Amino acid sequence: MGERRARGPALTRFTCKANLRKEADMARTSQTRQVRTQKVGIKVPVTALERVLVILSRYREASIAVVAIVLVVYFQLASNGAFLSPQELSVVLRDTGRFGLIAVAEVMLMITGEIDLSVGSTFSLAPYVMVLMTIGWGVPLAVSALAGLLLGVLIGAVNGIITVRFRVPSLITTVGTFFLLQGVVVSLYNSQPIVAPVQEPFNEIFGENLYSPTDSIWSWHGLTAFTPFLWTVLVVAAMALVLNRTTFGLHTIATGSNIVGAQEIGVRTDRIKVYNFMIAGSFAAAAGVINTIQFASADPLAGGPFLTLQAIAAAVIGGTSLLGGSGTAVGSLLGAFVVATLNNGLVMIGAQATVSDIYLGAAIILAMILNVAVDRVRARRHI
Amino acid sequence: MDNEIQDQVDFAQNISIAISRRKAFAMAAKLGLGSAALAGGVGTAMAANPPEAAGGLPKKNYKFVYVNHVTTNEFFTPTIYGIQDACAFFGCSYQWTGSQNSVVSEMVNAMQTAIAGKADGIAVCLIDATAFDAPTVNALAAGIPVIGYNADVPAGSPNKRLCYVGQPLYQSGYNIATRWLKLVPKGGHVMLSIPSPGTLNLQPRLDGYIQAIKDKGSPVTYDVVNSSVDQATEISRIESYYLSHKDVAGLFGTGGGDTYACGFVSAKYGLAKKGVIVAGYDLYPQTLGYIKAGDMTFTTDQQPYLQGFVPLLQMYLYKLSGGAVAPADTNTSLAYVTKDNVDLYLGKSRFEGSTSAEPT
Repeated sequence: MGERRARGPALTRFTCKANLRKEADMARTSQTRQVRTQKVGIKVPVTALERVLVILSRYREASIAVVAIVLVVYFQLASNGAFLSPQELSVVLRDTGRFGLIAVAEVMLMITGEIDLSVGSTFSLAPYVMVLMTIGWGVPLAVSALAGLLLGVLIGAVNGIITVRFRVPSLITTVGTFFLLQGVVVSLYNSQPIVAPVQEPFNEIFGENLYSPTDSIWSWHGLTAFTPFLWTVLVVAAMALVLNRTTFGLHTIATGSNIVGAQEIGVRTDRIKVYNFMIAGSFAAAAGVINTIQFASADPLAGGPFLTLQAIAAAVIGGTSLLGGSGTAVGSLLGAFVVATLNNGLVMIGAQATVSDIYLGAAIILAMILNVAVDRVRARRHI
Repeated sequence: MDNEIQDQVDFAQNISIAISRRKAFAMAAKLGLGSAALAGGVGTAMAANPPEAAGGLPKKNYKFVYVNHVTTNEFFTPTIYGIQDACAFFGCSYQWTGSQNSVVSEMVNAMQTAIAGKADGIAVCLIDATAFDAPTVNALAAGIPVIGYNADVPAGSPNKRLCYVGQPLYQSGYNIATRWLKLVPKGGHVMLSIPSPGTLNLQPRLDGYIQAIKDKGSPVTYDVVNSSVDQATEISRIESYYLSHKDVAGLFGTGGGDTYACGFVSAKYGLAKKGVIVAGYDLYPQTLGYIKAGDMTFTTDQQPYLQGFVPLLQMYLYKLSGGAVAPADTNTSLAYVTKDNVDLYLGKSRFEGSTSAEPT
């Protein structure tokens, strides 16, 4: 369904491009023939507002960036300046790192027209296995973390193969593996949370927070306050490059926007999908490992459906289509920041427990409406 | 032999008036509970008279069904051990079922399945005020005893469960709050957290907290934070709360996860050491670590082991006696864990779920 629907607009996009090129060629030839030149279809920005709109509209992520800035300003004012303190930023950006890493995993899959709901369980399982290996067999954390990541890749491969080989919609495949893996993680060690070992420098590089209120923010300890976020930024930058600059990225987008066309020009769409499932699995595992190191605790219920939903919300708020064919890695990071900001900002301004979810839900919807509205302004300007 | 019968009587009496952990340990030792005894044949009674393992009480092949609202939650690991130990003791078998995420309809279905499958007894967490009334009546009509454990219907409910084994939730919240209110300075502002507002096994604790604050008449003010249910979010939200309310005089959780999160934030900013009171529920290993390190004032043990063991014991006796031994309400709370007695809990113990090994 999704694939077929995505096909239409993609084809139109290609034809549009062809037409534009034709028009440009014609304009060039007419320029040589006639003296008078004419600009077709482009409005030159004149006023300051128009210039801002042009900048906004050049980047798909701009609209969500506006939403993020509005939220930060609001919470900063409402919390009497506590929101932009280094400690609070550390909290919010750590959350952003966690949601963002899973959101970018979803982006890669959603571009191909698939989705992975099992990430919440992979997030719990990979670090749990890591800690059990280290405690039970004495394997160094660095090695068992790698094993956790490979487990994530394996889970992704299984999700992908079931989806493309057996033609099971990925929504169902991954609901299945979500439950299956959640069952595995709670049965491994009788549902017990385990205190995770600390092995420096591995822990302080991968998420342990050494930053105390007395440290300078510009020290190594200050830097560790943001490591989960910084790792996610690295991954997001890498994925942005992969999507925009590599053949793999091109094939990923082609698979989602026009699967038949992609197959006709020789893209092995099934393989592309499986690879993206593997990427998603490894990112979910990495997020889980970082989370466990951060709190020195492997909790079998660390992930779960709540986390998956927040990450998908972050991806969609960031500008990734649920129908496949288009998506942005940078946008998902901004989306994750918006979700993390709402999560913590609402607590800061004193939202009481019984009503806080009303605000959270309403704010997500409002953020999305604002996002779409800015997007529409961009579309209307044809730039 | 007489001594053993006397022990048995003591045991039953002790159980029905709720008990301290030490007694539970002592009883277990006295009775040679569990697989160590079964496998090794330790204890004179068993050596002398093997078929009558329970010193007179026969082993019966009863099957008891435990319907739980969070079947995979780590809190209930010791409960399952309690059931296993009691089953091994009385020769019974059990099924652990229900819902993973407090879905009441799944639990009701599990009860109906148990009735249809002719279970010999049902123990159920009554997390909904009315939903379990009908299946309880059905079960009793079919001759199947029903016992509530861990979460109970509100007082005055028409529910026909034979008894409740666990912590009276509202009362426990009230008692704990009374304890920390003595420590919070007058006029202090405190944070109360709840992982999922509205659930029947957490909300009454929070209501108890709030009622105690009101009854005290002291000018303590409070905010209630929805901490959410996953560890990372719980810590983030409580840390955010602290950073925007640095004058907070107390952090109080109502569940195991948010209590741990309160401890985490306290340890990070040295709050308890600066005089902030930090307290809550349950015995996460990290929570115990914070108490040991002085980053947490106290936590509360609601003895989940007994919540598995006692219902099975009561259902067994009910079946065996044909209903003559009626199940009795059992209060498994409130044992407070402070820096003074935390060492008792820090070792590996089957009774706290930290190891599956039987005590020797």
